[in-house]
Amino acid sequence: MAISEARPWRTFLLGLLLFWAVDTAIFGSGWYGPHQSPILKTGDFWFTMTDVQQRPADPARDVLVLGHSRMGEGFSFAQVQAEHLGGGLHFVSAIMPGSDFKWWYFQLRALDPAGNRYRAVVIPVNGYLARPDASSMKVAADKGVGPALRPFLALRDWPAFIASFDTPGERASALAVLLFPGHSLGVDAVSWLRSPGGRRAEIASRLALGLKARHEYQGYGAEDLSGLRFDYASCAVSAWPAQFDLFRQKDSQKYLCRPADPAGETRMAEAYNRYWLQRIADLYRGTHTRVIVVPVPAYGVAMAGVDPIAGAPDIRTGLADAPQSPLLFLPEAPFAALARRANFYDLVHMNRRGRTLFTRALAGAVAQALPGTTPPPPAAPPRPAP
Amino acid sequence: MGFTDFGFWLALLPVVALFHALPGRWRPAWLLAASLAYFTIESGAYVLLLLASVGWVWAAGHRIARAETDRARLIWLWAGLVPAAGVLVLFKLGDAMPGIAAPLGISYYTFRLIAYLVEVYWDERQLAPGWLDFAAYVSFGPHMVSGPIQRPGDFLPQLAALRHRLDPARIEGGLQMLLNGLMLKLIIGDRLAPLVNMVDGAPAAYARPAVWLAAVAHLPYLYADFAGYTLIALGLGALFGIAGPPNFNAPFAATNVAEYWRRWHMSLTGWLTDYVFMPLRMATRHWGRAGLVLSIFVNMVLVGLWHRISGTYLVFGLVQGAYVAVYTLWLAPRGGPARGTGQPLVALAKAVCVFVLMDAALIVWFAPALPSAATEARMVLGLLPPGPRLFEELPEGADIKAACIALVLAIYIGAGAPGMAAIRARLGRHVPGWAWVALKLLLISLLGQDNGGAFIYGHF
Repeated sequence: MAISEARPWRTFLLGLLLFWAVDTAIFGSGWYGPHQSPILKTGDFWFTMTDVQQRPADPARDVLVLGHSRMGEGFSFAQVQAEHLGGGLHFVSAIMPGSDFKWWYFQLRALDPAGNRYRAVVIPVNGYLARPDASSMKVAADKGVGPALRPFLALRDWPAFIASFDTPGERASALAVLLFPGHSLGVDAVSWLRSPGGRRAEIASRLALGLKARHEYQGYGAEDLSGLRFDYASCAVSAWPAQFDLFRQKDSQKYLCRPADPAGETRMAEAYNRYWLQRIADLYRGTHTRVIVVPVPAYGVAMAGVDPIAGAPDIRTGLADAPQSPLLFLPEAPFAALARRANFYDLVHMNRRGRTLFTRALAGAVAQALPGTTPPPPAAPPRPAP
Repeated sequence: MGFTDFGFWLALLPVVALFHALPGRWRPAWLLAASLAYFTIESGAYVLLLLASVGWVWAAGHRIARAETDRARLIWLWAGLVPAAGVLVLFKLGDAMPGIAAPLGISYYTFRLIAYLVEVYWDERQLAPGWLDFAAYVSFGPHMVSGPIQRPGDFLPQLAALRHRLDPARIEGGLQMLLNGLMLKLIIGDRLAPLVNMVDGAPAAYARPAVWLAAVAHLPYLYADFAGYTLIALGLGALFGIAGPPNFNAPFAATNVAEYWRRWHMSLTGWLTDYVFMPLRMATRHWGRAGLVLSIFVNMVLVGLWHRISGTYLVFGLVQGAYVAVYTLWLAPRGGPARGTGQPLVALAKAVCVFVLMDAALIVWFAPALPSAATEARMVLGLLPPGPRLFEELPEGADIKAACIALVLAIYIGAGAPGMAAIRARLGRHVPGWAWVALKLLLISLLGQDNGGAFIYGHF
């Protein structure tokens, strides 16, 4: 029997429509969110964001802390409470390892759509001078951003989210994640089906902790970078500290050597940082919320791959003194002083000592920056490295 | 932008839609334009090299057809062949040099160019009806990346027919092939990839079970990846009304090595048989067995070196030459491998032997260099002490259980999926076509792995 030219397409489009409906009903409707594994990145982000969203707002005292793993390892919420460092402020963590400005912008769109929930928002920058590390930072930050943010993006944010990627291929992939969210959750879903009991236990444990899961995080231990031996010029490492396993050694290589085009990388980093800082500032322009930018101690040692090149631009230029700008840039010196081998567990994350010092420095600086709070006693100066 | 990128499919939509909306006489031109655009996106200025090759071979073909003497025909044949094959050899040699990337699908379009010249040399009626049809044949986008290698006599009449009608049944089959190919590649092949790549990267670091499993997985992984690609390419071709030649026919069901090569990468082995082995065999027929052995070895070494001119592929070709020569000269005449193949258990045992032989040869095929291949072979044979690592580094979703399931599925499908046709026919009566489409898309979405979308044969 002869078939019409339209039949195969009709069959295919009907199938595609059915697939899309099922995929959206399960993964795009919000139903799947609370069933994700809180151990995996996407699920961890979902539970953290949901906890922060559901927390009753206190616009006079809540300070939302965003950031990447450097902030996660460097800032101790438990220490703030134990040492009464906040001057009456409540620090709330929405930190996500591997995140960057793009994440934080869309996190704020979801957590504080009206711009009135927080007294201040703290975001980190890896120093005020642009560094020649744009490509590696971007690759790391774009990994998993779509699947994590998808449940929290309103439809009106979709165009901006897609446009935030550089190449047509990346934009198409971002659109795919938004349209068909099931694909990026496939591993999670299969793991759930393989062990539903285990998943229930994981979720129950995470729900019982709530934001404490982040706030009581203990961070890395006391190991430091004193065992690291490498040549700055040739970027060859002759000795790794004992705490560097193979994965950490491999991951560290990208910081050591100067990229092929450091000037181009620096320009890209400057443009990227300033673009997103501006967009975050725009969210709070004219509101009572301050956006506090902290120059987090980003690297424990000087390395050719990340040290600013001669004449590197300052990302604050033109942003700090803009009219009605909500941006407050904390002074760099107290934080830059913490960027030492003795305070770092690996090349980019602080250890227990660095964490203690950084938490005091940041909490104190935030309290001082916000009028009407009680500044804590000044942070103790760092002891000389052993 | 590859077949597993969402962007590729997004960009393909308007191309296919316009192809179907256009009047028939415009379809070949649109196909050529879209193919060249794809090539340019992937390989940039190399499109000029492609066009120059097309122009030169087109002109040489005409010269052959018009030549009045055999000598002139032969001269124009070589005048066409040498530059086309020379460019391919240069790029294959260049593979060893960093910073030199070959144009997209150069191995495949060069083989199409050569096939055209030889066919015209043999029979001038094979001359393409026009330059546009010829250019569309050589640069046909769906088959550009990694084949299959279609002959002009198969392609050109189908292209001419496009001007009048598109066959809906072909499109329907094409859509099914697309989905089946994506499932084979993304669900099965990409689930085996982490295991194979992990162990092949440092075989001495792994314990015996990991080394053995990776060695067994070589052939099923290659099959799932390449057969998956081929199904996608054939499906894409069918959306444009062109049925391509099959590349695989249940290779794991082969009961001897010669049969295996008639079932594996069929468009390449068929091409080599017609244009290399047969002419060589005819030329050496007076040499008796020596001529046969020489023809076999030349053929199989070319099968190896066609991938890349390197020591590993040379050794691979020599090993395959030895397999086929031993079979052809000693086993086949005595009826050894053919004896008892009617009995399922005997056939199974022979198929397992062929599988083991081919899998063993792939150790050198997958290895980056001969010393790595030697290390891995010694690890497999237990001649080196086992390493400490096992399966800990496998990513979630491609862990050892998932990899084992994928391995079994790849072998089952590669053996022709016995019994599946009956199940499909029975289910097909109750489940509508659109439900199958939805189910396959859901499986691809949930179980498909994200391994960067690279195809193994995309490198060749």
